[in-house]
Amino acid sequence: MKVTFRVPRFDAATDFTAKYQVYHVEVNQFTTILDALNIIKDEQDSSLTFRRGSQSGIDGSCGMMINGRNRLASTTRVLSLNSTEIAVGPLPGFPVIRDLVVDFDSFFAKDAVMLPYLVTDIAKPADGKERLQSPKDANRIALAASCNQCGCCTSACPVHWSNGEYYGPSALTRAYRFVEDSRDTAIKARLDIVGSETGVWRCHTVFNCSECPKSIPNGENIQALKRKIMLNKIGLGRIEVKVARTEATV
Amino acid sequence: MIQHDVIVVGSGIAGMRCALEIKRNAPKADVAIVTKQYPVRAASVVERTGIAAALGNSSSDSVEAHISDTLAYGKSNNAAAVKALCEQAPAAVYELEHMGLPFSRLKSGRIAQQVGYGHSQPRLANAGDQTGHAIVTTLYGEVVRFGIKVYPEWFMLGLVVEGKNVRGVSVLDIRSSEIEVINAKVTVLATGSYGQLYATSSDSYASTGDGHAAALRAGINLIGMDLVNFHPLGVANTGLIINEQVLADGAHLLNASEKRFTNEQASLAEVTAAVNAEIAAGRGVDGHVWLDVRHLPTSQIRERYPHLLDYAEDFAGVNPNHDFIPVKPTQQSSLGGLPTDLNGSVAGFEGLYAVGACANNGVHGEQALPGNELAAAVVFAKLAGAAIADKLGAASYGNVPSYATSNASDEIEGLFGQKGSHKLGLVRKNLRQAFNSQAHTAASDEQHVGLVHSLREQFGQIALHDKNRRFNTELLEALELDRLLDVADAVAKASVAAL
Ligand SMILES: Cc1cc2nc3c(=O)[nH]c(=O)nc-3n(C[C@H](O)[C@H](O)[C@H](O)COP(=O)(O)OP(=O)(O)OC[C@H]3O[C@@H](n4cnc5c(N)ncnc54)[C@H](O)[C@@H]3O)c2cc1C
Ligand code: SF4
Ligand code: SF4
Ligand code: FES
Repeated sequence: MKVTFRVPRFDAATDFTAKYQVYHVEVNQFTTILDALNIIKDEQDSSLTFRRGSQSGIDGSCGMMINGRNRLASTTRVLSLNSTEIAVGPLPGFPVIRDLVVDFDSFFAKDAVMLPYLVTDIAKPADGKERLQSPKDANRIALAASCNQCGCCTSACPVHWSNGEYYGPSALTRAYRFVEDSRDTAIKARLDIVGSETGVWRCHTVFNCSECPKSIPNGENIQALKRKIMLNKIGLGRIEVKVARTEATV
Repeated sequence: MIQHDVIVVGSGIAGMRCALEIKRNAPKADVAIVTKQYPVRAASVVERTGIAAALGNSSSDSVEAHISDTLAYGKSNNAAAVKALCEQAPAAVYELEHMGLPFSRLKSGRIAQQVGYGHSQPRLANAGDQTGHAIVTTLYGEVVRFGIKVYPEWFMLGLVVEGKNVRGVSVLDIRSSEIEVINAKVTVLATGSYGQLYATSSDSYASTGDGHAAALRAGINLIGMDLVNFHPLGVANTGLIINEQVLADGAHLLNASEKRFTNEQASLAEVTAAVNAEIAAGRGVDGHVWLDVRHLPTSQIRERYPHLLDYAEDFAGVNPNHDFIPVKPTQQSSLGGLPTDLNGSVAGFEGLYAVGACANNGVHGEQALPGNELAAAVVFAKLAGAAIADKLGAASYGNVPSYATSNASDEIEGLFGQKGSHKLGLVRKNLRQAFNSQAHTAASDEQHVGLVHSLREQFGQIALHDKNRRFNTELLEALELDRLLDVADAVAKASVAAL
């Protein structure tokens, strides 16, 4: 089947506005959007610029806007869109470098602010083995930890569009993943970070950020962080910390 | 010119683990990482099975049992390397846990141990079925914690070599097409595999053997280049792999007339051969056979290999509870690489180390036991990191020859200036399709040597149509294909020699 692709062409160094270009691609029931872009690049226009990586949705290289929604090109089959006209564009809300390639530097810088590593004063077991964690506690963080940093959520967030300083759902989900980790004890430090000027209170719970290819409930994670900050404010925060410690040492 | 005590090329599991070990042992060392992607996007994330370590958490597993399974699977392994791997894997896994890796857990709170193909005991420590991703994300967090400098989207063009001394690397900043030379006392190659040589591969688009090619160009002989493993369960058009455990658990393979045609419990190599034969005999469906898991409990699928459900839906548009999943053989992993000792040091060259999938110390033998590649990437990267930290005090920057920069810019300008009528996409397609055939015969391997030679000539007549210097992915693909052609030559020659 022949499908039409409409793609904005843009180079931040020389262009003020994007020019749209149309390509026609023959697809079958298995062809993904990324396959189609590869076909265009190989056979029609080698200057079309996009990123690609794992081909499997797990490394987050290929987030883009496809027929009005942020998705991964590698896990979106063309025919699943039920349309023979496909509009593909860069993730909104990030500076475009060229065509479909956007600049992720500020995205990763915000991630780094969240202390994206375990901070704990629970001692390692004397025998050098693993810290214990119940399957239930492990499950609490598994989904948030599966974030591939594709940026689809942050890019879909209207608050992020109007305020580039806002941490955005992906970084906040990263904080959530550690706050919820029974082994981590830097709850206060992280709540201070996410509770700051550019953090969770900016979120208007529009839930656009549920456009996550990993089905991570970013909006709900942010709500959970807000509740924890409030608990801390009224002095119940210490209990939170204690619970985390006892669960981890069971 | 940029200077760092150590430059690590690659931000996969091996590269990041090595950089961290250097920092742990020599906190003052100035270590930096260059990677042609963003660090969290390394091919290591694609791994879905788990990391092998005899923790003995759910059985009376032992290091000895892990050693004997590894030797039985790999056949010609380096025994000393296997011993080091199996002995040190548990500590390496505990360390990942201490870093916060979100492992799946047993009721006891200990790290889960999944059953795995080729393992006599449940031995795979896993984070759901996203273990590779979890390791990369966790190590990246540590890289942030230690403040290790990362240069994302910089492409390593080659090693800077003077005589037998490696002085760093030359790189291309993908965003500007500008060239830099990074001078270092120690250079670590951690550039991953060469899966992109095969038309159907489970590997990332980034696995183009760049480190292998850099070594070849510096006069280093690669070893084991013909050791490439294939897998019968590549999904639909992709080469992505459904965990082989599903076959052990009783899934069926069916041909076009919906009949079983092979013993699914046989070795992966045998099953792969049977699927190839069935398709070649015209009993497949559009180049595929069917994987039937309808009789397996969904709860078990969800528990052991949830990606099966996603892959079936995302890539084939089918529901595996009711429909067959189209599968075909795919390239799984490549074992060839720079010859190293157990510390990752490359013999004959001062200041050069290699870790991870681009290195070969013989630990895997002819085929890697599932989960051992991850374990090896971590264990040997640690050993290399410790050895480098030890040596750093006595190491020096040395002289950077002026040709380092001019060679690099000659390569780029040469590509931009090149004229001709051959198409990059077509040359690459022909190369990858030729190697996709796994039937090794003397004739086919000799043919490959000749084919690579003629594709190399065609490559010299590719004109780049994109002259823009900003984020030029056509240039990037040309650089990668150029390197892949060198790797292809080494693979073809190694195959001929092996017969
Ligand atoms: C689909 C798949 C399934 C696998 N399954 C298993 C399994 O079940 N069990 C198991 O143990 N192992 C498995 N493996 C193997 C295992 O994942 C790898 O051996 C291991 O992750 C390799 O890690 P690495 O750090 O060496 O390389 P990679 O993760 O490939 O990292 C390479 C890095 O080098 C960078 N790079 C490459 N070239 C350049 C350049 N020119 N300039 C700058 N940077 C460059 C890349 O950007 C990347 O950051 C599997 C691999 C794949 C692909
Ligand atoms: S939360 Fe989801 S959408 Fe957002 S970056 Fe992570 S995987 Fe992508
Ligand atoms: S819920 Fe919050 S973070 Fe998510 S899109 Fe809405 S405003 Fe943005
Ligand atoms: S290519 Fe990795 S997520 Fe799409």
